[in-house]
Amino acid sequence: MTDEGLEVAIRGLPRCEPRARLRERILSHSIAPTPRHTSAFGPTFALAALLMLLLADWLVLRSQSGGIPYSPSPQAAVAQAGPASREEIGLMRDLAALGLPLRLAMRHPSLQPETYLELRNRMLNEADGG
Amino acid sequence: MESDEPSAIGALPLPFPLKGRRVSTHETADIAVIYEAYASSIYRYLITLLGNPDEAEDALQEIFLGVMRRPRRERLRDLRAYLFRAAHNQAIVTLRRCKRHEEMPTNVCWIALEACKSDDCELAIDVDRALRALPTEQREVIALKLGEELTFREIAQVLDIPKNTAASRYRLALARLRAVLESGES
Repeated sequence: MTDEGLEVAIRGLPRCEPRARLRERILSHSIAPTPRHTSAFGPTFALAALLMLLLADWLVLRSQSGGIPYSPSPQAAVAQAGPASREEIGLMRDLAALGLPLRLAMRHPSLQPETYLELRNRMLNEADGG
Repeated sequence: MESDEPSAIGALPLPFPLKGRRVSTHETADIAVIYEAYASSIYRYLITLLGNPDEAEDALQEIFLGVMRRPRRERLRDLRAYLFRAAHNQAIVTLRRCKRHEEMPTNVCWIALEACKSDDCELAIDVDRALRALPTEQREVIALKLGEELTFREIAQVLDIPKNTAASRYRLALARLRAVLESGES
């Protein structure tokens, strides 16, 4: 028998096959464990987070360059304020009568009349007690 | 005997229904087509190496599960070569396990003796006997070449050996087969 004859003879022999139930067994494992759409969640979330960071950066830069005003400085507040009302004039007089440094008090724009009055009452009480 | 034309694995990496489109090894339909196209070939190669139908089926299942577990982003350049290579590696793992547990595999080959016609039966039995007498490294080359029609280039790729080594193993195996068959005839 020649090599070619042997090759032809071997090629012509019937070949075994895997059992049919193996196919079902293997394909039963081929269902994806996670839904397909969840695979895009990570990239989408990362992109959204990046956009939010960029937006926050832009807001900070814009506010620092004067685009978004901070609360006005005391000098600006004084300059912007209109003529003093009678209540405010009374407040200033009281401050002067108490001997408090009026300039200093005026440099604190957060000092509200209520705060001032409370402070004044306390000082008056202390003066009476002393 | 062997032409230097481009490898059939590279030229036709996918079975016809999947050709020309991206294949997902996570889709049941694609896995079914891949199974229909390659499972029999891989099974016969496994049975040639392992000599045991049950072990070959278990190994085949492991190979397909491995394909399905691959990360989605990893793309297979050459599916058939990958499957044969995986079969080679899985067979080594199985043989090691059998050796460790001192299990002697049933020594059968890829020829379906029960399906032989009466006039082919004698030849089939002789060839089967001769194939089983071959060393594994020669038997697997015969199985890949004559059983699955791989080229020497593809066989070298699967077995991770030089092409010339694959060719020389084939020639040696063929000569030994012929000698065994002729001695049986005489």
